Amino acid sequence: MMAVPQTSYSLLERARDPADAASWRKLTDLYAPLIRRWARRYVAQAADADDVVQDVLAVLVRELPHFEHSRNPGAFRTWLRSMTVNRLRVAWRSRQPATGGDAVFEQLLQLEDPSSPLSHRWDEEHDQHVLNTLLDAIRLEFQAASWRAFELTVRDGRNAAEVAAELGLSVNAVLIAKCRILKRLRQKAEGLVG
Amino acid sequence: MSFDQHHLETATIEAFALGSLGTAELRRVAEHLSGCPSCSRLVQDVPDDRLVQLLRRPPAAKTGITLTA
Repeated sequence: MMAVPQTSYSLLERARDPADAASWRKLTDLYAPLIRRWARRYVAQAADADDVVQDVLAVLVRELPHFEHSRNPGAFRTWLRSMTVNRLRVAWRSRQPATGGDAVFEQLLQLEDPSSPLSHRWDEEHDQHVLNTLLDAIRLEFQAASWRAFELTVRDGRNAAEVAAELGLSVNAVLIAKCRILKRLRQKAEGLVG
Repeated sequence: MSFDQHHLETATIEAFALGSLGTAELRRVAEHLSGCPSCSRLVQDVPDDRLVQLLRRPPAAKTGITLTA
């Protein structure tokens, strides 16, 4: 029996298909603000930061179909950080500023080491950005009461019984809402968040 | 068989709490929880994983006010 290919819920997997222009746009819309934020820490001019964003996305569009996602969580995030660091280094070398260069290059060196504290901070910033952006994208898939239950339990850390009483829901309805929304978020974020 | 004698496995409870179950299994567990307060309590006690921790708002941001776009 021939296996029926399943449509991937993962944005990363769908964006790897060169024919899926919509998913590719969603991926670039997701990452452009983050890359720009990273770039602005190291290049003073907004136009230069935009150039870094465009350079990274250009490499991404060329290389993503060939990207072999290992089972290592965070592989794509590491690859993205590496591309951004390389482009930032090129941007700095081309400008050769009088001061500040050593400190910047030292930080870029740290960002090449996945175990450095700076890399860990970038990774966490990446994951939070991706998760929060994807949450906004899936919000309308759920009823308002379910979303509120999710916000109060997951985002605010309140217990299910308390949230159920406040929202006039059963405890199980709160638990199910939390489960369904986390499940949807994990599907969308698969491969992006480690 | 009463619900008191048939409970969910720990791994299933944890996967449900963290949103890691498949769709069919999720429905089965949800149905079980509706009649099993014991398992329901265990679901509530599952500790957060890294993804849930990343979603947690800092205390200052928990105003209880939902901002509309």
